Amino acid sequence: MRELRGDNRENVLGQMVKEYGDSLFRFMLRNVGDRHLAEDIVQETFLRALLNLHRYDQNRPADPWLFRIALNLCRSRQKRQRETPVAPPDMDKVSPAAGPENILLEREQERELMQALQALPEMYRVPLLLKHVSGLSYAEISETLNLNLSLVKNRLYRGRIMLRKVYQKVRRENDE
Amino acid sequence: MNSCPDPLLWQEHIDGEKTATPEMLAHLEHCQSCRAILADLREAASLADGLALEASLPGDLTGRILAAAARKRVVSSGMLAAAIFILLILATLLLDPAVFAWLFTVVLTRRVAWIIDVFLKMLQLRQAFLAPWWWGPALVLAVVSIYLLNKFQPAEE
Repeated sequence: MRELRGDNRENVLGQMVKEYGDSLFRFMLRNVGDRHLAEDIVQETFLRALLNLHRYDQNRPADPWLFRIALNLCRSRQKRQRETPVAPPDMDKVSPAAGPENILLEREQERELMQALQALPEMYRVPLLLKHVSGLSYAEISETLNLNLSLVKNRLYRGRIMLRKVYQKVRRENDE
Repeated sequence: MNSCPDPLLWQEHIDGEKTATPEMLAHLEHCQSCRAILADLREAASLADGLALEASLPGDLTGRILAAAARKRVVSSGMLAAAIFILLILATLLLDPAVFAWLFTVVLTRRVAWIIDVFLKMLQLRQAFLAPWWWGPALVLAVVSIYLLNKFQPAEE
């Protein structure tokens, strides 16, 4: 692997940010539930990637590597802060064309879904987010989390079932 | 296909990872239980799809990262550790070893616990062997170890 310098480094970084930035940001936004923290972690992820480009095999896709860095950063920050991430309703999902009632309803549903998601253990939450938010394949999730393929399938299966169960429970509780 | 396929196979089919075989599809036509599993999985996957969101990074992120990288002095942490180590060894000639033992234990334990061990061992050795030729090889060994440890440390950590 050759050392990257100057413009080359900038180009590789620019390309990485362009290709994986939004996907990584969305994943982090869902995982930590805070826009500023998510931005901060993504920025730190790319900074680390930039400083360690010489250790990265550029013939392989970068997303498992970047997601792994981001996940470890996220864990160490949460460990430092000693708090469970809480999802605020500051996501950009609601379409601006929707009426006020629909916006409220969608926000409420989203809040409940996030509440259910945060109730899942990390071992199920992270594969779900990698699949449904970042669109990673089973093989990419397996590489990112360093798990074998059958474990990934299993965790996705259980995670989805668990998410639905918790979501229904949250809805029931909120309706009461 | 007489027995029902593993639900994970249906999941792979839903996720587009693998196409269901003709046998599986034929089985599905007459197996209510598998149809229920498939419907369940579809519902759960569709709920999880609701997690997807439209959000973009701020446009100036690349610039911010490059600026942050420029601010961050790209000094090899291995070299830095080696320099600290050399300074500390020189300082032991002037200061009481007990003070160093306290300083290392309290201040630097988390980061460089093994350096402390080496250092304290060397302090003991110094008392046993006052010959100066000990310092050269020990220093070289320590610097090489620090460099190698730093070199092979993965970026993810």
